[in-house]
Amino acid sequence: MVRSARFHVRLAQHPLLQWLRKELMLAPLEPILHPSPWRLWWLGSTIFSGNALFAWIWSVWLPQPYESLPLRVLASLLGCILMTRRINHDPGNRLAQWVFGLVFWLELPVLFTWMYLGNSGNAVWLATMAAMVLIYYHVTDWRLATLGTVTGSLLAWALFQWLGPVVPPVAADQRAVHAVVFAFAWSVALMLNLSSANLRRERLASTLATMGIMAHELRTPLSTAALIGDAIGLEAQRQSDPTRALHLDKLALRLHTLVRNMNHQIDMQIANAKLLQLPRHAERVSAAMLVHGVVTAYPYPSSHQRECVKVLIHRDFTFRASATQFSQVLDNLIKNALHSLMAADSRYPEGALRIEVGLLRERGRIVLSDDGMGIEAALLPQIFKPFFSSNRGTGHGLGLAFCQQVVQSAGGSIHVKSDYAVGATFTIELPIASV
Amino acid sequence: MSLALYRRPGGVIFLDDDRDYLEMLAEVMPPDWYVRLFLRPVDCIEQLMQEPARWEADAWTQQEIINRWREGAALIPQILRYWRDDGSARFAFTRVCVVDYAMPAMSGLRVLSELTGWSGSRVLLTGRADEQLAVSAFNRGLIEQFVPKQSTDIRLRLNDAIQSLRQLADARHQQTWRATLTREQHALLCDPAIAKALENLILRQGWIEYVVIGAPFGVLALDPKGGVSWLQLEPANKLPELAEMAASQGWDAATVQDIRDGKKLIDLELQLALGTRNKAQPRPAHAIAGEPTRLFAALFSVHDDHSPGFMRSYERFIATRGERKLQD
Repeated sequence: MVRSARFHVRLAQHPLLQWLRKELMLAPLEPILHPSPWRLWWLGSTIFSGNALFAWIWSVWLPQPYESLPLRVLASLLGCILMTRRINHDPGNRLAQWVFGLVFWLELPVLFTWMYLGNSGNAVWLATMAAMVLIYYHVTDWRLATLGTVTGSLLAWALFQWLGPVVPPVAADQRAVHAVVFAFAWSVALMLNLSSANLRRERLASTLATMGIMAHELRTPLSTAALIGDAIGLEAQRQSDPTRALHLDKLALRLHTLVRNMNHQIDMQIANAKLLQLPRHAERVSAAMLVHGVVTAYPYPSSHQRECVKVLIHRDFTFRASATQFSQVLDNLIKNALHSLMAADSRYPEGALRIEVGLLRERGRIVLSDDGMGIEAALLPQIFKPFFSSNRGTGHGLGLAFCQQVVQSAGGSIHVKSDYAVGATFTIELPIASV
Repeated sequence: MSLALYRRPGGVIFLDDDRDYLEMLAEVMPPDWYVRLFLRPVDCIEQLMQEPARWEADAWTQQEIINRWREGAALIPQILRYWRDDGSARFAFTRVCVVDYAMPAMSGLRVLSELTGWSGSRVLLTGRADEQLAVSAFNRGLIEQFVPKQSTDIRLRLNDAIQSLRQLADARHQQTWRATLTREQHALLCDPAIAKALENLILRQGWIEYVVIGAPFGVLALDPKGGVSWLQLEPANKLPELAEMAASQGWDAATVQDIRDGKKLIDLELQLALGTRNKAQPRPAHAIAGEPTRLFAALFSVHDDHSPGFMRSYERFIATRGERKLQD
C-alpha cells in the first residue's frame, strides 16, 4: 500500500512519468491498426505475391548473394492465412489478433533480419531493413512493433548463427553507418505511430464528447416543453367546457410523455457516449429486480409494444455491477429489439420480446430474444464495435459497444445469435456474486 | 414549528438566461404571486440590491409601532394606520429569488453571492450535472433549496419550494412582534398543536397578511380585498376575567355564562382600542386544539372605516402589475 502510494506521489510530480504511463499502459492496445476484413485480405495477398515476386527479382533478375526459395515459399504461405475468411472476417477477435501479430512478426523482423545477415548487410538489405521497420510500425501498435522488432531480430540473429549459411559478416567499417540508418528509421516510425495513435484516440474521444454535449443541450428546450405541457394542463382546468378541457388535458399529457421519453433517450445516449470513461463502481444487483425495473420504466412508444414484452424469471441471481449502467444496457437492448420488431412490421403479439433470467453452469444469464428483423450473419461479428451500426440512417452504433463494455467490466460476456428475418437473441452471462 | 408572528405576501424573482423557459415559468406559477423575470444577472442584482434599504425603513416603521405601544399607544389602530399609509409598497418586496445555475455571463451561485444584505430566500435551478454542486452550496448555506430543472414535476416542486419559503417567518419580524406577547401567550403559540390549528385557520380564511399581537391577544389580519378581521384569542384561564368585564358592561347572565364556558367571546378590547362608539358584540367561540382546551378563539370583522380598503389591497396590487414580462 505504502509503496503504491509513494509511486503515485512520484507519478504526480513527474509529468514525463505520467505521460509514459498514459501512453505505455493506459492507452488501449491495437494489435491491428485500422482493422477491416478487406485490409487484412489485402495485406495477406501482398505478403503472398510480394514474397514470390521478390524471390524472383533477387535470384533471377537482380541476383543477390543470398536468397532462399524454401523460406520464400514458407513466407508466401503465411500470407495466405490472412486471406482466409476464418481470420479476416472478424479482425476484432482474439484469434485474428494473435495470428496477425505472429504472421507479421515472422514476416518482418525475423525474415528480414535473416536475409540481411545472409547478404552480409549489403546496400539492398540495408534499405529493405529500414523499409521493414517503417512497415511494421504501420500495421501494428507501436508497443507491439517495438517489442517485435527487438525480439524478432534477436531470434533471427541467433537462428542464423546456428542454422544459417556461412557468409562474411557485415563489414566493420559499415556497422556504424547501418546503426545510424536503423536508428533513424526506427525513431521516425516510432514517432509517427505514437502521434497517429494519439490522434485516433482523441478523435474518438471528441466525437463522443460532442454527442454528450449535444444531448445535454437538448435538455434545456425540453424542460421548457415540459412547462408548456403544465401551462396547457392549467388552461384545461380553467376551461368551462368539459370536452375542450379533456382535449387540452390529453394534449398536455402527450407533451409530457414526449418530454419524458426524450429525456430517457438523452440519458441513454449520454451513458453510451461515456463509453471510454465508464466510472468503475459496483454494487450487488438482483437480476430479476433489475429486469422488472427496466421493463416497467421503459418509455414504450405504444401500449402494444409494452404488452409484447414478456419477462420470465426462471431463477433470480445477484451479480456485482453498476445498477444504473446495467439498466442502460437493458434499455439499449430493449430499444434495439423494439426497433427490430418495428422494422419487421410486427403486430407485437405477447412474447414478441422475451426477457429471461436464469442460471446455467454456475453463471447467471439474462437472455433477450425478439422475433424481429434479425441481423445478417455477415454483420454479427462487428455489431459490438463503436460506431458500427446496422442501420446507418438512425443509429450511431454506440449502444452495443456500451453494452459490451459494461458487461465485460462486470466480469461477464455478451453474445448474440441471429440471422436475417429470424429474430435475435442476446445472451448476457455474468458471474454470480458470492454472498 | 412555531407560528410566524407576522406574515405578508412577498414577490418572487426568476433569473435564467433562457427567455422561453422564463416565460413558461411565469405562465405556470400561481396567478396570485408577484412574479418578476430577469434575463440578465446584472439587472437582477441591481433590482434586488435596492431592496435592503427600503426593507430596513419598513422594519423600522414596525419597530416604532412597538416603541409607541410601550409609551401607551394602542397597537391595533397603529397597525391599521401602517397598512393604510404604506399602500401596497410592502407587497413588492422580494421574498424568494430563483436563479438558474448555468448561465453564460455569471453562474447562479455567483449571482447569489453578490446579494449581500438582501435577506430573502435563495433557490437554485440545476441541470443534471450540477447536482453535486448544488448539494455543496446547500451545505454551505448559500442556498435554501435547489430544484433540478429536468425533473418531470418541476412546476409542482418549484411551487412547493417557493410557497414554503414565502411562508417562512422573517427573523426580524419575529423579534419585533414577539415583544408584544407575554410569556404565557408566547408559550401557547409555541405549542405545536395550537400553532398548527392557527396556521390552518389562517389558511382557511384566505388571509394574505396578518400579525399576532399580545395586547389585546389575537391576530389582526388582512384579506386579499383589503378587508380587516380580528381573531380574538383568549387563554382558558382568562375567560372568567372576560366574563366579569362583560357582566360589568351590562350583558345578560346567559351571555356572561357562555363567555365563562368558552362558548362565546366578546370584542371589548378591540372596540376599546379602535375607540369607536360601536357596542362590543359577543361571537361564537371555538376551542383551538388541545385537551383540555387552553385557548379559545372568536372571529370579528373590523369595520371598513378602519381597513386599508380595496384600493390598497393585495388583489389590486397584483391586478395592476400587468402581464408577467421579462425585464430587459
